[in-house]
Formats: sequence, C-alpha cells, structure tokens
Amino acid sequence: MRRTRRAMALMMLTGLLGSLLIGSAALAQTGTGTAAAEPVVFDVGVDSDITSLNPFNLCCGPDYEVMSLIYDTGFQFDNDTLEAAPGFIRSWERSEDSMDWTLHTVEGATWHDGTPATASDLAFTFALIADYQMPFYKDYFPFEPTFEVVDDTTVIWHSTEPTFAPEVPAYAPVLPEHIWGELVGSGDPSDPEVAKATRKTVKEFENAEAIGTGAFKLEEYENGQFIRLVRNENYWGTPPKSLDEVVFHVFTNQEAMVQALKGGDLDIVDALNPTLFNSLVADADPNIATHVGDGGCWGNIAWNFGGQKDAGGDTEDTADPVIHELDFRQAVARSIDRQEIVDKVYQGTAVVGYSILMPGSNGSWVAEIPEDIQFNYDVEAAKAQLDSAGITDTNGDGNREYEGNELDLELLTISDVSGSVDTGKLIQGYLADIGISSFFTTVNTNKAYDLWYTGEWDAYVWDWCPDPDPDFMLSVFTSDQCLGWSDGCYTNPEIDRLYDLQQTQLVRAERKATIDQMQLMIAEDMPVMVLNYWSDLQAFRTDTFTGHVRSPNNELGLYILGWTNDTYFNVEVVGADTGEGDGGGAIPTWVWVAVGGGVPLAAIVVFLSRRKTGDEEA
Amino acid sequence: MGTFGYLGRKVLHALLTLLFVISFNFVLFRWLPGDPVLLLARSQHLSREDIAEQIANLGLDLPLPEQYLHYMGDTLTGNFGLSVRSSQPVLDVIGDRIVPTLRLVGLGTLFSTVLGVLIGIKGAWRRGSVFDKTSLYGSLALYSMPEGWLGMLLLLLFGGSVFHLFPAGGVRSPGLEGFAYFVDIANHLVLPVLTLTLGYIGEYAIIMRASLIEMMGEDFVQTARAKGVPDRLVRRHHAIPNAFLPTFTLIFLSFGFLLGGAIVVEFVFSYPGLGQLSIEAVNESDFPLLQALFLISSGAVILFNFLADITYGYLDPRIKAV
Amino acid sequence: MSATNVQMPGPAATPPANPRRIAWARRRRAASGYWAIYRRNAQGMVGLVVLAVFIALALTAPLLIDEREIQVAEATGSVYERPTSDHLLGTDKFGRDVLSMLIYGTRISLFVGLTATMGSMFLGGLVGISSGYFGRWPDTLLNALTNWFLVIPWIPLALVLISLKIFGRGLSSIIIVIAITSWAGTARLVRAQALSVKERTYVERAKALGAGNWHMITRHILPNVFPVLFSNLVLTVSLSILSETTLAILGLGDPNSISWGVMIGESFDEGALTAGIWWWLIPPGIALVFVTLSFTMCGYALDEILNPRLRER
Repeated sequence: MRRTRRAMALMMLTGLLGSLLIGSAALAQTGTGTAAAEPVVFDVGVDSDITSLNPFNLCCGPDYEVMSLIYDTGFQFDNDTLEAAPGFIRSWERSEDSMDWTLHTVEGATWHDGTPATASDLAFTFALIADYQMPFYKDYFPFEPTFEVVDDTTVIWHSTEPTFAPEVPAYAPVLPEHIWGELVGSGDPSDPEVAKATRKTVKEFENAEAIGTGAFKLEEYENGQFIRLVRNENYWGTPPKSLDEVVFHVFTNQEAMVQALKGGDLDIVDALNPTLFNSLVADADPNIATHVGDGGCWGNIAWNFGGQKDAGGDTEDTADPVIHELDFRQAVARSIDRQEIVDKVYQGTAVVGYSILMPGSNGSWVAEIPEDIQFNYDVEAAKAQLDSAGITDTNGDGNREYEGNELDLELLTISDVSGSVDTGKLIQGYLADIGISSFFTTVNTNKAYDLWYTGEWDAYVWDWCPDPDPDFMLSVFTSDQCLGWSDGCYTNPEIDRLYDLQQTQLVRAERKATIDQMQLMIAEDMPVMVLNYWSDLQAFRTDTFTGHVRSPNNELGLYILGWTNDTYFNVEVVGADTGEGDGGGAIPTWVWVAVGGGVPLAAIVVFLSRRKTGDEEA
Repeated sequence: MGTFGYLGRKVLHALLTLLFVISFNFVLFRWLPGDPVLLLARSQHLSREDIAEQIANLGLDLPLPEQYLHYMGDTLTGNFGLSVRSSQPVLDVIGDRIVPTLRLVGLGTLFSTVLGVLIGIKGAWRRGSVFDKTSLYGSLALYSMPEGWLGMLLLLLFGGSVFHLFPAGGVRSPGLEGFAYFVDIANHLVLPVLTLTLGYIGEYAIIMRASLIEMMGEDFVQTARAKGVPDRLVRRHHAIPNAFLPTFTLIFLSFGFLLGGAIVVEFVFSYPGLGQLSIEAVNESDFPLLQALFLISSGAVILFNFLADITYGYLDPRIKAV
Repeated sequence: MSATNVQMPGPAATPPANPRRIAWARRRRAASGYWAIYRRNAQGMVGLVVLAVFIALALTAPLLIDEREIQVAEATGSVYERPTSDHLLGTDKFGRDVLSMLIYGTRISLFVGLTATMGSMFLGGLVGISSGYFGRWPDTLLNALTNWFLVIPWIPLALVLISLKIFGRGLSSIIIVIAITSWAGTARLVRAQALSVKERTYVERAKALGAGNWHMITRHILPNVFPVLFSNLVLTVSLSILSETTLAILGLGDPNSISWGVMIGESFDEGALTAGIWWWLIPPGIALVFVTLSFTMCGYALDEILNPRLRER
C-alpha cells in the first residue's frame, strides 16, 4: 500500500511543480526592464493563416498581402485605375507590332540577404513561370514568350504573337535567382517529365527565409498564430513613413479578433462578419472606425445545364431538364427577393447586384443592366411566366410539374462560403412560394468541387471573385470551360464568339462594347443569377495610427488586403502610442507572482498540517 | 513468466493494436470520397491537368495495394508525406502545433485529476455531508455541460465582454522576449486550461468517489473498522489505496482522449494547436495531414493504455502472478 | 432489501405452468421491485421529473409554437430584438423567436440523443455479443475493430464522416455518425458480460442439450446482457446529446434542424458574445445542462440499483 501513497505524493508533487514553474517565470519577469526603443508595430487581424511562404503555393486570405510586402512584383496596380504602375519594372516600351517589350528594372536594389537584385532575376522568374508552366501565374505569360537580358536593368520580352500581356499587372513576385535557380536544375523544360519534376520541386520548397526585395522582411512565422515582418532598411523605393513592423495575427473565430481590436491589441481587422460589424457601428466607439469596402466577390445561384458526362466527366449528371427552359430560370429569378437576402443574410452590408462584373473590382468594365432584364422580385409575374410556359401544377398537389414530373430541385449550399447556407434557406422559401419544392444539401467547399464536376445537383449558391481584368470572369461562361470553370456546363455559341472577339480587341472602347454586350446577354439568359455584391467589413483603431489609404482609392476601396499596399507605407503613429500590443489581458505580473508563489506555499502548509493531525489521530 | 512475461505481452499487444490502427487508417482514407487537391483548384485557377499532376505527386493515382505498401513502408519509417495545403512535410506542420497542445492538455489534465481525485476522496469519506452533496451535484453539472459552451461562458466573462482579464485567443504575442514571453504564454493559457479543468474535474471526482464508496463496503475495510482501527488510518491504509487503483487506471486511459477533447477548447479560444489543426485539415480534406493526426491521437491512447497496464501491474503485485 | 430478494417468486400467484408466462411474471415483479427502489432515490427522481418535463415539451411542441415561425423565410420579428413581452427570449439574426427555437430544439436534441443512443447500443450489442459468444476468429476480428474505434479520435473522425457526406445529408447523417463513433465502449462491456454468461453452468448445459445459436443468444445471453446495456444506455443518451452539440459548435450540425447545439454554434459563429446577443447563446446551453444532467442523474440512480454494492448504508 505504500506504493500507492508514493504515487499520490508524486501526483501532488507534480501539481506543485507545475504551479512553481509558472510562478518562477512570473517572479523572474519582474526583474526585466523595458527595451530601449519600442518599435512601431502595426497589428493586423486576419481570419485565416497564410497557406505557405512559397509564392507558388498561395491561395487566399492574407497570402497575397504578405507576399507583396516581402516581394516586389514586376508591376504594381495603380491605386486609382488599377492599371499597371511601375514596380520592380520602372518603365517599359513596346515595339510597333506589340511583339517585343523592353522592360527597364529598378537600379541598385538588393535582396534581403544583401545580394544585388538585377534584371536577370526578373528574367529568371518570368522564364521559370513561362517555361515550366507554373500554375496560376502562367496565364499571365501567353504565347510562349522568351526573355532576353540586355544589361543589369533591361530585359526584353519577346512574344510570338502581338500581345498586351506584359502590361497586365501580374501577381508574380520577382524571385532571387541565386536561391530559386538551384531548384530548377539544368534539364530541358520542354520535356514534360522535366517540367513536371521541376514544378514539384519548386512547389514543395519551404522558402522559410522568404528572401525578396520588398519593403518588409520576414522576421518570424508561427504556423497558425502570426507572421511578423520588419522594415527592410535597404529598400530601394520610398520607405514606409513610420512602420517598423507589421504583424498579421491569425484569428480562427471572430469573437477573439474583435475583442483584440477593442482591447487595443490590434490596429486593424479585416473580414468581420455583419453581426459583429454592426455591433461595432452601434458601439460608436470614437477610437474605432468602421468601413464597408468592396468584398471582391458576388453571390449567385448557378444552374446546372448537365452534359458533364458528354464533356468527359465520370458520372451521369442529374440536372433537372426544366433548367433548360429560359422562362423557368427567369421566373425563379423573379421569385427571389434580392433585397431581403441582403438584409437578412448580410445584415444590410452587401449590395444588390445584376452583372457578372462588379464595380469594386472591375470599375468601368461594368455594364448597366436595364431594368427589364433585372428580373426583380415579383411573385405574381413569376407565377404567370411559369404558367404561360406550361410549367404548371396539373395534379393539384400545390407543386408544379414539368413534362409530367414533379419539380423537386436540389440546391447545393456551401458551409464555408459566407452566407451560402442562409441564402439557400431563403431561396427554398421563395421557391415554395411559386409552387416549386426544393431541398438543399450543405457541403464544404471541397465536397462541392467534387459534386461540381459530377453534375449531381440542380443549382448551387456560391460566389465568384473576378480579377480586375474581365477576361477570366467572362471565360467562365464559354462552352469549352465545361469541367473547367463553367458552373453548370452552360453553352451559348454567341457568348463563345464574343469572348474570342474581345480577346483580339486591343482598343479599349471596342473591347468594352463587346464585354458590355456579353454582360447583358448573360443577365438575360441567366446561366447564373447574380444576387449581390459582397462587402468586406473592416475596422481600425483611430487612436493608434492615422493616414490609412483605401485601395483602390474610392469609396469601396479596402484599407488592407486591397490591390495595393498603400496603407502600410502611409500610416503614421498618433501621439505617443507605439502601437505595441500589451500582450493581451490585463493581469498584472504581481498577480502571477502571488499565484505562482502563494499556491505552492499554501499547498505545502496544508499538506504538512494534515500529516500532523493524521499522526495525532493515529 | 514474471515481470518480463507480463511486460512482453503488454508491449506486443500495444504494437499489434498500433499496426491495426495504421492499416484501418489506410482503409478509411482511401474509402473516403472527395479529392484533397480540388480545394485549392478554384482559387489557384488550376486546370484539370494541373489537378491530375498534383494527385500524382501525392501518389494517389497508384493501384490500391501498391499505395498500401508505400503507405506502410512510409509510416513505419516515419515519412508521413506532404500536407496538401502547404506542400510541406506533414511532420513539420504537426511539429509547429504540438507544443501548445501539450501545454494545454498537460496542465488541464494535471489540475483536473489532482483536484478531482481530492474532491472525490473527501466526498466519499464524508458521504452525505454538505461538502459531498455540493461537490457531487457540482461535478454532475460540470460533467453534463458541453465543454464548448462552458468555454464560451468563460470567454464572455473574462475574455473582454464583461471583464477583460485574459486574452480572448491565441498562444502568445509576437515580439516578446525573456520572462515577459513566459508571462504572456501563461496569460493565454489561463482560460483554455480552466475550461479543460472544469470540463473534466467532475468526471474524475465522480469516479474517485464511486470507487472509494465501493471499497468502503468491502469486507477487509469493514473488518479493519470493526477491529477498532481509527477511521483516518483505515482510510489511508486500506480504502484509498485500493480505491485509487481503478481510478488511476481510468484517469490514465482518459489522458489519451484529452487530446481529442482539446479540439473544442482550442476552437473556442482560437488556440492553434493540434485540435485546431485537425479542424483545418478536415475542412481542407488534407488527408495526409489528417492521417498523421489520427495516428498520433490513436498512438497516444494506445501508449497511455499501455502505461496504465504497466503502472497497474507495478502498483498491484497480484497482476504479475496471473 | 437487495434486488435479489425481490426477484424471488411468490408462492401465491403461480399461473399455469407456461414457462414463458412464468418468466414474464418474474420480470414484471422484478421491474416493480426495481421501481420501488428507484423511487427512494432522490437524485434519480429529480432527474426523472425534469426529464419528464422536457419530454412533454418535446411532444407538445407543435401545439405550443407555430413551426413556420422558426423558418428563416417566414420569420416575422426584426433582427436581434432584445427580450420583450413579444419575444420572451428575443430574436436571432433572421428575426426568429428564440424561445420558439428553444422549444422546438427540445425535439431535435432529444431525438438525436435517443436515436443515436439506440444505434450505438444496437451496434455495440451486436458486435459485443457476436464477439463474446462466437469467440475464435470472429472475436479476434471484431475485437480489433472495436479497439480501433476505441482509440481513434472520435471528433476528427466524426468531422470527416459528416463533412464528406458519407451517410447522406441532414440530421440522419449526424445521428449515424454519432452512433458509429460511440458504440465501441458498449461493445467491450457487452463482450465481457457475454463471455462470463457463456461460462455459466446452466448455459453450458443448454448448449450441451443441443440448443441452437439463436436460442442461446435470445434466451440466455441477451437477457443477461440487457441490464448492462440498459444502465449504459441512459448515460449514453447525455453523451450523444453532448456529441451533437460539440459537432454543431464546430460548425457541422445540420443547419436545417434547429437543435440546441446548432443554436449555440450559430450564435458563437456570428459573434453573439461580443455583439452582446446573450439571449441567443445562453438559453440553449442552460437547457442542455438540464437535460443531460437529468439523464446522467437517472443513469447513476439506475447504476446504483443494478450494482447493489453501491447502495449499501
């Protein structure tokens, strides 16, 4: 039995040791003073971690923001027009035939590790992407270009076709050849096996140092917690006005993020949900400013036209044939109250939308959709249109039939897409109002992709986030994107023709006319129903920094995670505040000391006294 | 036979179970639908060829038996493959997250077991007293409370909405050094550890109380009392040691499961440990990562099972004779 | 006054010698004996009463509230109304009445708890009895399977199964997943019991007399395993309800069925704590504590009855 007692004593001892450990740490802490010069830190709250430090493995969230602070891109976005502005490439001229572009790169830049950065690094990066067909970036390098290094600051981009591609701001960061060159090897990139192996090696590179030429250097990255960048003292361009550090803090739930903003641990937060955003607005804290910016995405219902199998898919689609009826699609659109969705799902923070291009991202490319093809909410008109199309309730059960079959639509909603599930709930109600029953399946994005390609659904509630250049967004509606980016294998020869046409139109006004026409056609033909343009809800403290800049520079622009990094370069400290987070929580050190020292002491006293009484009883 | 035989059998058993777990995991993750590669496809604008290439990179295009052989070989040599999300070795990703979880689970276990056992002993000994009743119903209430909700209440109370005493989330603040660093970590730990402790303390108290009460009905305890041995000594030398054995085993067994229990706590407090990581891995269908997490989690349970057996054998000499 | 006394057949009420009827009469008497003991257990009675209230609430919910009121598209209230006389517990983000959702949630939460438990008991019973009764290789195989389910982290497993829609969609998939991830403990208990029953002389004798497997299992093994299953069952219900809550908090509840867990999960997700919308988050948690606590109390009371040594003094 003595052994058990030993075990118990052991347990108590470990308990004491645990408290002592904390206590001693706290005790010792009292001895340290504060550092001499507090750095100016800009604390940013974001809702997801970066995917990786490797620019070839980026996805979403703060990925591009972090990357573009560390790396320079060839061109940046102009903050007013979102067109190309000088970046690592300071100036450029093109030949008469638009086949040869001369790019002049920055002089006297150095990599974060001190190596000089030259035009050959740019040529190396571009060639790596173009020759080895690196996913994502490769689309910016069409027509098999080659890159000729003339001198330390000049590269010539030779294209095999006339192109304006060199002028499109690519996200592609300029990479140091002395680091990434080792990964590429000497094989022939036209050999598919060599290209494949290289793609794999490059993508799996950890890039833990993340050596770039950008205004900030990577200092510390804690997976899932934060990424800390410090000012690059040798930056070639205009340095940030006052920031010494930028820290992106990852918050997996919104509660903690907003608490941190309120408590002063964060200076700015992104991607707030409507409920919390509205509560911040209602609080009207003079030290916290709120901003409704462009969310960069539009919410939609997309119809599945079927045909995935014919296009080479693995399974038979289950799309309902009624979806091919234009009257049906338009009537459903009329049954849907876009404003109510905005009010209830997005708590009034989204904007009703009609076109597949959106003002925030696409600016002047957006066409005005005339009211007669907006198909606004009108239940009676919706019913009438269904009746006249012969989609009626013939057997009197309250539900409409098509070609003798009861309508019962499968709506796919996506659990991790904001508002998708809630919108689906409302749409189910709207459909019921016009006599169409439906059920919805909620899946996560990953499963949704799976179903997307199999075609086993009738409609889904999802979103698209267009690039500033409309090309990609328009391509989604072309026939040959079935099993590619097409939502539901929509086919329309006229759209295909116009899409090809706009690609060849180098005069902006002509291209704009074609693109306008496409937008109207899609609005009327309704392969997808655009529901709303999302907002990105941001908030920042006004008592720590001032001088935040929206990107793009208009009322919908974003203070962070926009198209440019102007905020980081322009913010300045307010008063004496250094913007340093206090480490969260307000438990002063002496409390920890008391706990750390007091608890073990008390435990020892109790333990000893109990033993004494025990002996007395014995 | 002796000690070695007992130990040998237990080791063998643990290893066999582990082998089973590894194989079953393989079946599970090959049986699951959903393509892990697809998730990044839309945001990275990957073509179908790009996707096929990535699937091949992950070795998911080979015939199943071949995949199984590769998998077994890789797992036994400690190669868990690459995470789909970040293309980094799974072990590196896990390595980044394991320390915060060990801190959280370790302290949570420590506090909940020590306090739970002490409360259980006192309650059982003073059966029917005010202390017993309060602690019993308190334990039952805590045991019945959804951990996540309990965490939310604590967050509401101490994380800022009512009192701002502790940070509402995270593991530590960046840029701190020396002892400020430790204090900062401790501050971040308070609420999650408190949640975990409160969540499990009830269970341990109930178990200890029940087994002590049972033990006090045993003949040898009754006999000792009848012989006039003072209560305190009966308790210390007869009842508690014997009641402690089953409780000890149960507690040991639950260690392994605490890792799983930490998931909700980590979720509520945005605490990026293994639990948070497994939620992310599920959301992203990062199967290689999930596979490794499952293995680690199951491995922990098996290990603690084994340790419980060994310790039990050590504490209770009768076992060895069997 | 132990359970065995009550089981003794009284001499007076012996009906004609039909073995099945004798058995039933004996069981009825045993049951009323157990009830007599249970009634004296204050803790168990409190649990039972609370439980009865919630069950009554669940059964009469359609009479108390208009089901359309808690549908997103039909909600009449405005967004996030504070508790008033119109809406005693305020409204949620769609303007739905929280009290109505709470009452309706009783149905869903109890339904999930009970059905998932049934499933878990069935699986655990089936595997445990097969394993314990048949022995040899089925035992080895089933035991390995049980062990795997025992050591596998259930939350990630459940998350994977639900998020990938392995068992279809909606509430049923959640119920199935909870059952599938929770049967192993029961199977182990039942197996042990079945093993010990199998060794008893009268069972061995029946076997020697040529009784078939079906007869052996239904007549001898099952009745003896049943008490173990039963006290385990009541405790498992609260665990099942808590499991559903956990899954819902992690965002994998069924968004179409408003259970208490889904209410907690959605409100937390929306930031109800920081936004001060406590009436959406607190009440479902309190309801949950009451229900699981009452199940637990009933379970422990039953346990004491079925394990007489705990009843002493």
